Amino acid sequence: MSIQPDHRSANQRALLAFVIVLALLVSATSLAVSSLQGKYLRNEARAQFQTELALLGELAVEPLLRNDYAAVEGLVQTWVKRSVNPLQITAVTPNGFVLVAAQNGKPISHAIEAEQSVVLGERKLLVLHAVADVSSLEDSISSIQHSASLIAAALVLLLGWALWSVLQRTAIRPLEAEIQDRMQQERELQRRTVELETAIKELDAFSYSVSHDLRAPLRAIDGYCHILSQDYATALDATAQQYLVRTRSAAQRMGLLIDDLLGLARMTQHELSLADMDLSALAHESIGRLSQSEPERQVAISVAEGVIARADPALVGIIFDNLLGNAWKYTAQTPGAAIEFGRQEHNGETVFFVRDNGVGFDMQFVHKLFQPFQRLHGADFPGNGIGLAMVQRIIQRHGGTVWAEGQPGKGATFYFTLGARPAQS
Amino acid sequence: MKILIRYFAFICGTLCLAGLAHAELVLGVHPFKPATRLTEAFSPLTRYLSEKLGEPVVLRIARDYQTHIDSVGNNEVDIAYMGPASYVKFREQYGEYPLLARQKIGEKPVFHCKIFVRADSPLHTLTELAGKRFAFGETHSTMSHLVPRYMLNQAGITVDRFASYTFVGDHVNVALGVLAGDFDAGAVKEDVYYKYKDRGLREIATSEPVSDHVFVASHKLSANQVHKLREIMLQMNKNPKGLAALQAITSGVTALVPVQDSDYDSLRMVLKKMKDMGVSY
Repeated sequence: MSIQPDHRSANQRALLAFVIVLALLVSATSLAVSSLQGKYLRNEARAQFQTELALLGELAVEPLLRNDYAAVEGLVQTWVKRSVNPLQITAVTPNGFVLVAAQNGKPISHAIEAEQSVVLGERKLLVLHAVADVSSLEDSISSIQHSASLIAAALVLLLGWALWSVLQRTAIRPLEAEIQDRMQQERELQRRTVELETAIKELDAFSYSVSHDLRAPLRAIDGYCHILSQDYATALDATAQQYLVRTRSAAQRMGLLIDDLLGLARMTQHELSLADMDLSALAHESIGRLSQSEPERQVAISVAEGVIARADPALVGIIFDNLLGNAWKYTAQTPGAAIEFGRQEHNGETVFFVRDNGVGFDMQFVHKLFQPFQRLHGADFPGNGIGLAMVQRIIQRHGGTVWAEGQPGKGATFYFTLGARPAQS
Repeated sequence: MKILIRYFAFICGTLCLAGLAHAELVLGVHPFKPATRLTEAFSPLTRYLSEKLGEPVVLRIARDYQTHIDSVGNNEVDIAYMGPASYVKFREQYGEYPLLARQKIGEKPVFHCKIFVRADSPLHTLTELAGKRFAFGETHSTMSHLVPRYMLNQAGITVDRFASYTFVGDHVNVALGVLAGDFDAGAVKEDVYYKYKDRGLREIATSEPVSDHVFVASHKLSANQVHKLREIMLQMNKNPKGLAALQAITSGVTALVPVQDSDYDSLRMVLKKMKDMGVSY
């Protein structure tokens, strides 16, 4: 599948829009410049016409002073006759008599007017009023405007083509290649994700199946060992009896391990069902159960009240049982043991924590904390190393994260968030 | 020696060219209008005469009226178009010359002088012109100076009674000068008056009829040439081109008619009286 044509089409549309805007701007500028030029040329023509009329007036002074009106008449008529452009002139004496009204008979479509008083000192001799046609000038201006528009259009097209070529060479083609690469990578990632998810599901199914199938022979081993120890107690000496006890203990321990493995596998197969939950109440319940199991222990408990979060009720209890259970367990040998559940805001997100002042751990091994069956304190404390792995998986399924801080002998704090949305299993 | 031969050849060539130049006839005209207008007005006539005579006729416009008279008297022109007063003066100075024809405007070969004012002027009689500004044409002009001045004298208005009087050169300038308000009154021949009348003129006096312009032949021309010219001119009104050529000189000309010196006797009398009063013409 290729998306290059769509991209190219979008680029072409963008470029076309740019060229149109550019064309409009260039056209507007061209028109403005042409208009100014036209205005300048018209003013020039008007000024020149006025100058010519003034010259005619100067030529008329001498014959007027000699009362040679016929000469003025002839002068004006010759002036008009010789004019290439259509021209009309009237020469009016101070008493309003129209001495000459001449025109060369050509039609006037674009007229400019000029008036010139012929004076000598204080004496007004004549007033010349002329109307000239500037059609040829208007045609020239129009021609200039058309030429400017055509040149502007050609420039815009050339610029647009050049821009398109440069963009193609410097941006579009590399971008398209990069997009292709990234899409290829994305498809590869997607393929691998699907494969990974399939593999995980198969592995979980395999684990569940294996764990489930192992339970039956284990129960048989335990059961038969129990029968042996009961029914043949007199036939077996003390050593054999001891071996049977150890065999049963190992089988039972293996059963627990299988249970934990099953639980871990169920975590990934369990469908999340979110609801608003009172985490404070959950913490109280979990601590209550722990206190009942060891009522003789003196532990300072602190639970922040009214902590509400949206989570799966079936899973979130496991988090508290494990985190508070670990805190209970690792403070067993700590005088003045204290366990705290609370929350805090961090970067706009609600972070929950469980803190204790127990044996703690060395931060250099923190990466092992959430790996299944990894235990930092060995046989000093009971456990199978699956609890924190389950906690991490549950939190990740909620879209949250979990991390820990600790120091040997000074306790540990486990932080976790539950995320705004549940994560996909 | 070679230089002398070349010089001799040059002189001979020049004389030959001069001889060829004399092959054309010269039509002389007095400057009663601007030279450009006179050229336009008389070119159809020179073309027509050239065509009919079979030899070129060229136009010569004199610098002034007296020069024109002298050029005819000195046979520098072959044909002369002369105003009535100029003819009378010419006859006095140079004696009898062959007369070819005179203009006929309308039905009669005479014309009149008009003394006029602006149409909106309060002036209505010649006597009211005392203390006013008056425009004459040319000092030798029959109708723009001599005859109207005689008329004014008869009415008791001598030029010294004007606030001012000016010779503006020709008839057209007189009409335009009055229309432009530079003068209160003026005098021109009637065809010029009628041409400008509608632009705002009003006549207050008309002269007695004066025999119109005349074509005079030079003594250089042979009797046959004079006869041929006279015949051509008298027949011009019958030829469209000929009539057009005449009307190009003065609108309203209908023909050229026979003329004799006595046709100018009445004018001669007027001019004599003017001369007696000290007005030269």
